[in-house]
Amino acid sequence: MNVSPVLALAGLAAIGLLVTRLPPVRWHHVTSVDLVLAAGAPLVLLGLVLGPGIDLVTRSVLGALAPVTALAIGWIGAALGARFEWRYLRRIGRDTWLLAALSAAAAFVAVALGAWLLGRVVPALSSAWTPRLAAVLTLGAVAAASGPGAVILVARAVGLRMRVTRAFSVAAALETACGALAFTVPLALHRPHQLAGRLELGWLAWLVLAAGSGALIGMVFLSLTQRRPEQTDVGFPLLATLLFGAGLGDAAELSPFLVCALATALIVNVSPRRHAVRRVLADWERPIYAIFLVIAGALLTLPTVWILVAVPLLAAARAAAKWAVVRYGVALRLAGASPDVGLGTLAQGGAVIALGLNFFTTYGGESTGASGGGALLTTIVLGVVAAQLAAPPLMALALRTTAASPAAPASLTPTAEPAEQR
Amino acid sequence: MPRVAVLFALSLLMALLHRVTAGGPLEARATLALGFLLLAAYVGGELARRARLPRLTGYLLVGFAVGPAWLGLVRREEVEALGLIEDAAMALIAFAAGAELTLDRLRQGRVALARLATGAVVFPFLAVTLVLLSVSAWFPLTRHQPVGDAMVVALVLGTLAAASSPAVTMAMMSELDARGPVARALLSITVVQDVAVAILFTLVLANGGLLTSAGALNAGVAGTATLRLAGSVAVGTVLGFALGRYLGLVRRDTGVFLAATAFVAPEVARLTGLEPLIIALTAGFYLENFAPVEGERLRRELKRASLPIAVAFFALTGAGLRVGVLADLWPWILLLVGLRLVGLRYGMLWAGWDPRVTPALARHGWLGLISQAGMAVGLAQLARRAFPEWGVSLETLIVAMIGVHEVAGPICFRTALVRAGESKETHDAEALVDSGPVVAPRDGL
Repeated sequence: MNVSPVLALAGLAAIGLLVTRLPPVRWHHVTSVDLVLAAGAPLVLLGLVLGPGIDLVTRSVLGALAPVTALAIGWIGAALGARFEWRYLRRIGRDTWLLAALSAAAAFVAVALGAWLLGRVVPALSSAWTPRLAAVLTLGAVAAASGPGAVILVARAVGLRMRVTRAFSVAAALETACGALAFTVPLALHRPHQLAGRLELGWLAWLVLAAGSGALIGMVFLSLTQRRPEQTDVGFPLLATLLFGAGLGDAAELSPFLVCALATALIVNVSPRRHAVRRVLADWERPIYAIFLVIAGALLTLPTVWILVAVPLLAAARAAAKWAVVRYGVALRLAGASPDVGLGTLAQGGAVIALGLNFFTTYGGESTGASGGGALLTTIVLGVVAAQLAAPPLMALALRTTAASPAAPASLTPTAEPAEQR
Repeated sequence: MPRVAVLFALSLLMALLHRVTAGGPLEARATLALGFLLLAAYVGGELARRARLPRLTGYLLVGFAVGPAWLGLVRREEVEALGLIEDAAMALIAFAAGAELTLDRLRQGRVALARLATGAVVFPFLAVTLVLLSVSAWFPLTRHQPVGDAMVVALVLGTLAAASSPAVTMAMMSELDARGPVARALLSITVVQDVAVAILFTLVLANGGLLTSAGALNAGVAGTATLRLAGSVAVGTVLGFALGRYLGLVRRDTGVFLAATAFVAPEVARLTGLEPLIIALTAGFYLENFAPVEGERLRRELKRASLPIAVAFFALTGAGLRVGVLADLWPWILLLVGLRLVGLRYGMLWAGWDPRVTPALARHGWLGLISQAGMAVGLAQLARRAFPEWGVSLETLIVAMIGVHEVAGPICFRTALVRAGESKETHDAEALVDSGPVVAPRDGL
């Protein structure tokens, strides 16, 4: 029997109630800070308190909550996958695709290179980000990703027009897809890729297997929902299918994020219930995202304070790379966009943390014996905070010089924006 | 037929994945197992509905079929790794059950409720205890024991025969959209039964030392049981109070509070050795009666999540059923189950002598009290610790009996409600879950 975490929890709850009795404190609102709070920073802090703080959420509890973690990663992946419906995708211009890919690639290279250099200069970082190559590539991949929801939130905060907001959101979704694709490289590098204890998979075989699994999971959902009345609720079949997909991604050491994203991309392209699927994804995203942030907070560790130095440096490298590549792309007449528009998709959200958590479950779990997952996750979460803080002023800067906003393609989703923006 | 094909295809797929992922981490395999269980149980529930059985029975039977006891598509260690998820689901169902009990309603029907609960506790207790005492010379657990030890075993089994399951009752009420007087009375009876059984169990253990031979009984467990009950009620009250205050302060994100309840109740119970079912029941009861507005918000959210919660709980329960002992002891288990049913039947008929108890309850109510689950399992674990020599055998026997009651209980509950005219049969099960009233009408028993 261990009652101290319970007493600590009761104490925390009591303090929380007492604090609300104090007179409200007036402070000057800063848009960046407000956005970080709205994006769920208090939930990450709550996880930090419940986990490393009072030991209520221990490693064994997190192990028992593995299905919830995997489902949350898969759900966020599914929310991204649901944006990729072909009839919307084909309306996106070639220039937008090219700019997003260039921006993502530049961020990937700049941050991966920066992380590698930092690791060389500061040995403490090198030992915190382990396994080295996979960690560096993961940092690059998450830098390539953006946050469609987070970008919408920032765009609204700085007062962008709906058309421009939508354009930034589409670009962010494309960049996030690029980031997720880049993330397959560090995952595929994971050595214990042995199916049935014998067959070792190469990167390409791994990728094919992941894609096949995504398709399979999508077909499971389709078979469950076909020939059913239109008003039948698809919520439970979708939840069970995504949990199955996340479990498959986890157990076969693929990626819950990737498997669920691919499954949902198939579903929204094939199923007549695509609108209901999107609605369910949006309805449940907020509570799932909240639980996910608490779990992520409970996993944070700070093995070296150099991480606090590395995060702003890497965030600056990312912003500079995105800005530079768009400016260069515009010079090459890739798109009729403003030279500073690359700064419009700096904000990051749940998808990036989901990729970090996915790295943790693959490399940082107790079963692998590695310890780098927590440190890398901390770096990623702090990086998201840095991106959120920097995004509003930089987006405003991008707008100031944006006489002509980027050609606004059709929205990737007709539904309400996901909860990750909040 | 297409549903059977889907279930077959899912099982084949899982059999393949089972082999492919054999070397994966346990947590990851448990996630895959849970996903598969939910999918298979969902299809099983639909098949059960077509067979005019409760969907819960479908979830249970499919969980059992694909679980370690039969097909082995889900391994034993995976089911055990999902213990927190099962406890969380049970806590939410118990929370909903507690929220169905209002002080007004209990006050209005307190005499009838007391009589019904007395009948439902005393008659099965006496029937099982007395018959077991009379056959103790042949009963496998007591065959070689002194009379005093046999007497305590009989008393423990009699006590457990009086337990019922508010969680299963609540889940069945949700599935059948049953909020009539019989259904609500049955829920109230099961809650009173569980509290009474916890007290009775403590008394049996506390006084058992007078009868048993030296070293046969660890009487300290009686104190543990008392503390467990009192502590669970106290923690549940504090949880309900805190939830009410926080829900009053935060007007959105009710789903997050629901998730917090699901996690905090079993986790606190695990850390402190308390009973998660009682904690959640008390929290739901407190919230409904002392913070009704906040309670209503939480119940609305709970209703939205009722299908996943029910499927997860019953599929995992089915997968965790341990009925291997049935092969050896089936005549004895049959006898004990039969005695319990007879006790319940006559207990309710006795209660029906009071004019305040409706004839429908007196005649058919016993069918709604057959289910056993969380509380009985918790007491079985305590029984194992209380009797160091033969506690393991006793627990195995009790768990097998609980398994039988779990499978039979929902079917009988549905029969009870159909006979009482309170079951709304519908062709669309999901519509049932989604369209039922959130607040039950408030009248007496």
